Amino acid sequence: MTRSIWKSTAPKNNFPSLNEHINTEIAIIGGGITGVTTAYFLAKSGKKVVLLEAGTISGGTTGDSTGNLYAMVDKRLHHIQSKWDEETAANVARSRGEAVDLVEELVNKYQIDCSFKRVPWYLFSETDQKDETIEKEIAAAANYRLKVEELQELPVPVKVSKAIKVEGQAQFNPAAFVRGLAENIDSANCRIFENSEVYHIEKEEELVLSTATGTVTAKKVILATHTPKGIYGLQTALYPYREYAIAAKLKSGDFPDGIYWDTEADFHTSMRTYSKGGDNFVLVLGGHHKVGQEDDYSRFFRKLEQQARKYFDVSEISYEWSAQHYKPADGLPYIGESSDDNIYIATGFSTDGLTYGVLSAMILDDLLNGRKNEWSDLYKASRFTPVKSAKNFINENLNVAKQYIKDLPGKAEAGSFDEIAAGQGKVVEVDNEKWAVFKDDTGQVHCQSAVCTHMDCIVDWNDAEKSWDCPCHGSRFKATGEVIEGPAFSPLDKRSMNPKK
Amino acid sequence: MVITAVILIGIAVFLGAYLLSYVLQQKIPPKGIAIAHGTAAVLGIIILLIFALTTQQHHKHWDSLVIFGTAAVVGLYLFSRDLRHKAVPKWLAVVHGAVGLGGLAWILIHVLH
Repeated sequence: MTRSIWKSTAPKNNFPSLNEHINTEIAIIGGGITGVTTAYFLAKSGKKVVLLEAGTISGGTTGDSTGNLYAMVDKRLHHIQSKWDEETAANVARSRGEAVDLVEELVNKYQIDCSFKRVPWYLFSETDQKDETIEKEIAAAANYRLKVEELQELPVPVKVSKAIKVEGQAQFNPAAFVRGLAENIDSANCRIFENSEVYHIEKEEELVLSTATGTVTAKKVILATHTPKGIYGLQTALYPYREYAIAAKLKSGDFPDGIYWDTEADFHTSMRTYSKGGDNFVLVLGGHHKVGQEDDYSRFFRKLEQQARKYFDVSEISYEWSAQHYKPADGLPYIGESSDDNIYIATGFSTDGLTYGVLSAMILDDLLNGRKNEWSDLYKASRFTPVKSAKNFINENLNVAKQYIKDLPGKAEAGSFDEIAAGQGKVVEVDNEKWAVFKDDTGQVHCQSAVCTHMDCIVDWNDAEKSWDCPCHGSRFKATGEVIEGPAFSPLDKRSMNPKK
Repeated sequence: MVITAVILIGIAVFLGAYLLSYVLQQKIPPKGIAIAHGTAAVLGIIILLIFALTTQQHHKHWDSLVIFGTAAVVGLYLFSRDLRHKAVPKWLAVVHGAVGLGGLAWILIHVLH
């Protein structure tokens, strides 16, 4: 079973689950960095807030992230500059820089024990094939007010063709930060509930959120759920990908802190160090792929381990985990009011979500308090950018159509339940229906419909995470069908076992 | 041109009958078939429309186009409900199928005459 180093080492909160009916001004769904930081600001400004988290605080993508905070972006700022313009790229860098500063301010204000530290960010190429990317970033950097230093070698034992360094970025334990901040939210104005999964939003004059044991009626709702829950047109502009991470315990060696990004395109790894309880770890991250569209998911962990052992004196791989991210069609996140009145979203963060999550909180706080925000137009959720979005929009939505077309009668991974090994899952056709069948370690068979409850794509078995992943919009379900993440509200429909199979 | 349209619409009707069997059994229709059904129907209608706009013949099949257009609108509605995981009304699916089949019969009568 995979588990991130952040979730494993951060102290947990102990908030109750929702067992009542509450009326409030603002309800926030999702207790990750976006939801908790937004709740903190709104409660501080005097708003009455209820935060509902399906699992535990920081138990989702925030706790599975890299723990890196930086002004730059995954796709590189020069890419934003070429797609948008110089001013937009500069504003992205500046707004993200302000978000990093804000995290530092909150850590210092509440003395949150989350290993926050300022570190340099490095971008390097191992061969001269990717030197151009570095050169573009250097050339464009002056526009972003970032001080870039060119290097011939890195402080980690990696062969380098070209490298740059930007000082003043940061690292922390994201789960410890979010859980620490949640403890410091003004409890007179904000109530937090864990293990309170919202399975339905009734859009009436006010918005009514239902969990299994309670309801919250709110004037406004913030979907801090990584991608909006339910069906939104915006989902045609959000593309779900997964990325993998390992934390390798080192036998020897003490490497300087930093965020190390490799430009090599095929696996696109990044590295960082982390020390906890006298143990030194190197975290290696990479292996980016479309959700639900792989045959062998475990291979990504094997490749990361290979990468770690190539450069470092590794004693063991202590943690393995993966996380989802949503790429936006036009390169910028969508933050603000959605197409549904009074429902706000913050999504499309790509792999830069920790910084964008905090930035979203700054924007949403201003929007919901009627204040002008400097960045709100830049990231406006309802913006229409057909030219900038066209290439990704066409490619990615053709990919979605392809996933639908694969759903044909007689096309299944296994002909009978006997073909499924213990601990594995396969799609089986039973009575002209696709079933997602999981056989647990004791041999017990768990059957559910393989049709995703979001928009009807056929889910795919993820052998690394033991989950059912939807290749269309990224909904993910446990082996037994319960929702893990993504836009789906409902679990996979249960099916009773057919003895014929 | 009309023959091509009739063949495509015939394929759409055949696939539609298959999809209808799922709806009547309250099962989720396979999306691959639904997309093939819709694509065949849309191509058939487009070819028929091109024929109507370009032919010098007396009968331009506008009547068939109206019938297939009506079926297409209902079909799009049914597909959107299905994609949103909402129950597809059986009666409306039957009406959609009957209109499509009726349209095919109507155009065949005219083509064969």
